[in-house]
Amino acid sequence: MQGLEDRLKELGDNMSRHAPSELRPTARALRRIRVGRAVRSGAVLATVAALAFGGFAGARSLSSDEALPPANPDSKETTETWGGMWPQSSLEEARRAQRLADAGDPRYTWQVFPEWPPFQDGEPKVEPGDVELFTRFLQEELGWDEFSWGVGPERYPPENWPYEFVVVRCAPDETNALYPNDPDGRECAPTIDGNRYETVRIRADQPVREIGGDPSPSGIWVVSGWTMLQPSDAPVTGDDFVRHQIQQVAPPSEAKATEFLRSFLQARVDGEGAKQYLADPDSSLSLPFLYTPTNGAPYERFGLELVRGPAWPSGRMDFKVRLFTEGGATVVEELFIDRRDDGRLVVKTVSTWDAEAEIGYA
Amino acid sequence: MLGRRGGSLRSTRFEEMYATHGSEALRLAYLMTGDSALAEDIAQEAFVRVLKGFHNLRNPDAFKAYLLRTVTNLTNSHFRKSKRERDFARGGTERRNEDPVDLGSRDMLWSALLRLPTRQRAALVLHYCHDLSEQQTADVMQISLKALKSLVGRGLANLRSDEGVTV
Repeated sequence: MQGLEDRLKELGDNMSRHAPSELRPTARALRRIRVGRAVRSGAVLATVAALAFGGFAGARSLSSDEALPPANPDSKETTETWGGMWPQSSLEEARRAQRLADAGDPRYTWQVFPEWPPFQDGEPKVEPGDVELFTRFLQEELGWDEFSWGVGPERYPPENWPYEFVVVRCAPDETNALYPNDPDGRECAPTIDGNRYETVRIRADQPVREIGGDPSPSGIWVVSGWTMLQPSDAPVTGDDFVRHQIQQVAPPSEAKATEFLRSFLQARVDGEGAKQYLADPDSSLSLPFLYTPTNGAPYERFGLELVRGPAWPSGRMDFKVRLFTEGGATVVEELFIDRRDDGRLVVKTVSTWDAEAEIGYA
Repeated sequence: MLGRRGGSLRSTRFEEMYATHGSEALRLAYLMTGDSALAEDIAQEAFVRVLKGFHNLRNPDAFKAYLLRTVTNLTNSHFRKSKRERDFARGGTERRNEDPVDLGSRDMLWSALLRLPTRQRAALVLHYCHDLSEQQTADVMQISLKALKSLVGRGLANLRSDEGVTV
């Protein structure tokens, strides 16, 4: 019988015949590349200048990432100052701590937590907010009394997942008037001004021991780096919540959000003008059944319900939508309303069903 | 001037990079996702991200490694994000079929491959389906050779134990 490895090679050959074969740069892609290169050149010059004048205080900085080629080509960050390792401050100290932890010394065994992060179904079994190392780091090193881990659905920057994550500081003993109904948001009032939060990005590591690149259950963990995220020039939306200082957004009223969504759905029933409501109107994944489902019949009516939100801090509101055709087919979509940088409301898609079968999600 | 640092490279140079490496990026994204439209979106985004930050365009081997790494990262990120979006929208309580795509009976092995944890899937696709050596695969994934072998071993074991795969 053919071996599994050979079948995988054969699969690669067979499936490649079905793969799209040609990729051309779109005008939008070329524009983004040119703008990105220009911005990056500026960032490199700024980094060189900062180093020349001793502007980097942290023991570990991202300056080495600016070498050619970049370590993280899909990173959006430019220049940041990173703090050093904690609670040990060097590899030598970490090795000593590991030896003492192995011997059962309680001064170091608290740095060992086998539950985090070995994965279960692709997710860490324990989230960073439940790990003593990180809570002690926030309290003892940064002096934060109250904090909130996890903002919105995307809680980790995509690079180095799940060993980097973002935590925001909450004002002690205050409630957040902007999000009285959000279980996380109502307990976390801003610390900088009415909307902005001190935000730290933390990188975790097992400096001494790992098993084949995976975490070892007996290895000590350290905070291997951290940086205070800076404010964004533009209002922060969507994924950028893990890249910039968190700034909560005043959510639209339910009436305004519903009216906006009704206009979008009416345009779909009318058969024109619906694309302008979409966050990414050019993406093939945005909405597969914009004007008609698979039976080809036009929509004749719709219904909607608010499922969740507004969610802190983005003001995101999730809706479930049903579109009905004359032929009796029903399309069910999960959508949410988000804000663009210019403050305009847009529709984003979570998933779509046609005739009860999930056919895709963006 | 071609290959110089900064933002002044001509569009034609970018187009050359697309022509040279585009099909490879598409193929990898397709094998990782099973969805041609999604694969195009991911490959396009990978080119944008790499070309925005990559200065040494005269080194095609390094470019290819960074491009494939970015395709892998974006694919992983896409599936994580999709799952989180669905969990978030449903209040984190409802569980549905988490298969990235429904391939039906088109290929049971591919379906099983797409059910693997993303890092195991990436290791197997890059090494076996994409014909990269173990060292090249480890470089693309930014892990040690030992870690790669561990991932490949666990991935193969999971495939063998998958009900849909007869070995």
